[in-house]
Amino acid sequence: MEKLAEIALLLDIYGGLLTPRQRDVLDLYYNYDLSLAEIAEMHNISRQGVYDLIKRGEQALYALDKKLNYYRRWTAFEDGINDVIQELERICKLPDESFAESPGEIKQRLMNIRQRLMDLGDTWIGRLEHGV
Amino acid sequence: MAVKIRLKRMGAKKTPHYRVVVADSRSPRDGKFIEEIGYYNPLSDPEEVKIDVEKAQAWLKKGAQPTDTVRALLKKCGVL
Repeated sequence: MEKLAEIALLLDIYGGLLTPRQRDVLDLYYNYDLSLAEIAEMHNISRQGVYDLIKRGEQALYALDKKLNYYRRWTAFEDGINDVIQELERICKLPDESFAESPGEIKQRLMNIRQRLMDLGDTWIGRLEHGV
Repeated sequence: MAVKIRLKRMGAKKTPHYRVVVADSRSPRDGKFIEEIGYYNPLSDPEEVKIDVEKAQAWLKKGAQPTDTVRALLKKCGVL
């Protein structure tokens, strides 16, 4: 089941780099949940032909991702953004007094967010070993 | 025409989640389906599956064919 989401994501990211036929067949298989037989009928090719197209398309997606790494970049980025959003929401929910009583702590938390955003920038650019 | 129970991808680019729909086997991309009986979010942690058990059983009884993926989800929800 995890493969479903994985291929669907890879197809979003790299779909444009596949052949139109591979992309179409993978789209029908992973985004519309059609069977090999149904796709074969739509395209007037054999079931084996559809299977080969899917396998080759998957291999192409994995090969692209191995070189470009956008799947991992994207998930790390998404997780990081969610952390930052949650931390900002926590800060906004603090009682008004705490802004006057402990400005140092709040400034520190804001600086931590700043650092996190800079790290996320690195992650996106590709310096993964430091950013994740 | 065969009636299938299948997943249908929803959601913005790069955030796949799926509806579990009952649909005719023809023209999957036209967006039409007969009934929505649940949803599946593989990316949430833990993954989220919700299926209307009664509706699912009623459709299975009428001979609707679940796809392999949907079959696995139905098992998970105790429908099969």
